[in-house]
Amino acid sequence: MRNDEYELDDDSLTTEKKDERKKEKILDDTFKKAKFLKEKKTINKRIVKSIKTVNRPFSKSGILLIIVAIIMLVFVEYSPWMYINQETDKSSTIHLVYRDFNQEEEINQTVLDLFQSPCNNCSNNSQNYIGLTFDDFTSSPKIITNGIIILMILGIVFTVFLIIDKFHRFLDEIVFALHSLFSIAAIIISLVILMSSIKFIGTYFLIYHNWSFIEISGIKNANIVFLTPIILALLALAIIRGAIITFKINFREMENKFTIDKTEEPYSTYRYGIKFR
Amino acid sequence: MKKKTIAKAKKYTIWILNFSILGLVVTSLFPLISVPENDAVKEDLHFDFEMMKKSDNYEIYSLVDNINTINLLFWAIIILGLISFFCITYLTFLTRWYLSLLTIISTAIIIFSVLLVIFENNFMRAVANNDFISLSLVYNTITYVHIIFLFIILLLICSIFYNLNIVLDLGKHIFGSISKKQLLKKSNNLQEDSLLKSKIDEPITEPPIGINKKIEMERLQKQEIQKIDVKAEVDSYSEAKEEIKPVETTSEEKKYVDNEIATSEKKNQPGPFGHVKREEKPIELVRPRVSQSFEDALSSAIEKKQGEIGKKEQKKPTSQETIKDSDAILKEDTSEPNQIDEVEKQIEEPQTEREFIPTEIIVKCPQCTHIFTIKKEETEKIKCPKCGKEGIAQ
Repeated sequence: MRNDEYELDDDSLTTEKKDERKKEKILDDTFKKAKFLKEKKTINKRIVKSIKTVNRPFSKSGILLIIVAIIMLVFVEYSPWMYINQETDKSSTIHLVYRDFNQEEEINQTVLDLFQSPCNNCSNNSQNYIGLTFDDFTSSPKIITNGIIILMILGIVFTVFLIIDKFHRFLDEIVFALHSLFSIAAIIISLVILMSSIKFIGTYFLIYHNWSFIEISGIKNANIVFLTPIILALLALAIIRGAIITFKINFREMENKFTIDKTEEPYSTYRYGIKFR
Repeated sequence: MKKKTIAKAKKYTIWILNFSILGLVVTSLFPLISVPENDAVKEDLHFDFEMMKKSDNYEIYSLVDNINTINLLFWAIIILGLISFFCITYLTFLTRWYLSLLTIISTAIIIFSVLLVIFENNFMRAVANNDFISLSLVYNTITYVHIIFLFIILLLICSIFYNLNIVLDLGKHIFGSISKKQLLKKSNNLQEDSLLKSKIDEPITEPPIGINKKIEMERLQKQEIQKIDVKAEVDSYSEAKEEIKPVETTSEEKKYVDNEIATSEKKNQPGPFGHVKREEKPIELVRPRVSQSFEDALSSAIEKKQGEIGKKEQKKPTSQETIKDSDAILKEDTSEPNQIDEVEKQIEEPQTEREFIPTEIIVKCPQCTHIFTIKKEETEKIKCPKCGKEGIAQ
């Protein structure tokens, strides 16, 4: 019995030691885990967050506006506003009408009759059949030139602003707002240019409908092209379209900047499916 | 304003701009009226806006006023459309008074569109009333003025949709804020009422009737979870570390367990060298008081480890089993199963449930890689002190 008891005691001692070791191990593990968790909390504090930047508006839009304005100005000054190819039985004569066109220019009388009152026999409803007078060739180019100059100034100012912005960074909101204001101004000025050139383009409809009246005045088999107004109208439409696109881009950028996804909400906690903060 | 509403408003504004520009262009482009001529050419002479302005006939010239007004209205709508587009782009993100401003602008656009319809109709009526003048025909009975009228109608429809879109959102804002205020008032009254307060403390399954159930349910759930949070906070491991000393030092417990095991073994012994048969009786222990949380954590950890060890030691009989069993009994006596589960969950998934809320955030500049700290409130407008780079924290 004694031997057994002694043996038992020895066994129990060894098992005790083993159990104690196991318990210590378990405790160590739990403490390590706890420590790790605590440290992790502090690590969370030190997470380096990257800054979300927003793309600046199209920086070359000002330069592009200046280039378009220069092209417009070149067309206004040097391109013919009206091209007439008058075909007769024997030959065909080409007449090019530039800006500031007036009665004193040495052009065929039949062509001049298009812009003044030719209807000696008619009921005096209208002075002409195509809706254009000599004044239109002086007033419209003036308006368009002024508009182009304003567009150029806008482009220069915007380019200078963007250059300054490169050195002295303005707030994104200010840059976007100014960019959109410039776009609004460009749209309005382009519309003025468009409306000034539209009346020349509208002449085509009148030529089509009133051709019999025009024929009586002496012009037969004539091809009339208002080259500069068409180009100006197209360029003005392009500017309007571009301005609207820049508006859309700015909107998208602002949307990206100011809307934060729900997953990115930094200080909201969810516990058991309920939002806490 | 919702993202959807902003997108819709943007879409309608672009349509309004397109239709108004088209209307303005078409008004100056197309011939509008025609006058019969009976002299050299017996045909209708067509007049566009420019030609009408230069006409010597007073009846024709009198119609110019209408067209002038229409043109002015188109211009006004274009400018308003541009302003509203500007407002949508900026004010929706920056300020709070955008909705009322956009409502005013959209209402103005509707008014101008209606005026356009009226003036266009007036023009058509004036032409129809005049026997001498008629509208320029495109094909059969379709006139150029009808095309302009179509654009005006489309413009009106777009402006109505635009206005509705914004007004509905404004209405939701107003009524939503009113209902929120009412609910807040009600909840304040509830808090004052002690009877209802006791009801709130009851389990979540029985929410109080009367006010918005969803909000109340959420509130109660939050209360319950906050209680668990408080428990979890009390469970700080630092406290546990301090309190472990008495557990390690107490020899009473071990002695008691050993004595109990020895007595039970002696009782179950059949003979001097026979196999030990042990009766599994629960041993009641008088343990020194340790914090509940630490006990829970410890027991859960031990349980886990013992599960692993138990598998290995299943083959080994005698005294090891007794110690194991005593531990198991200890565990059964001291800890409640639900609490252990909760603590285990908290230990296993601490990151998902607990989130640290920093007061300061360390930020790295993407341009110059300068690392600096910012306050919690300054996450939306960060400026690098070194290079001046601006942005917001992701």
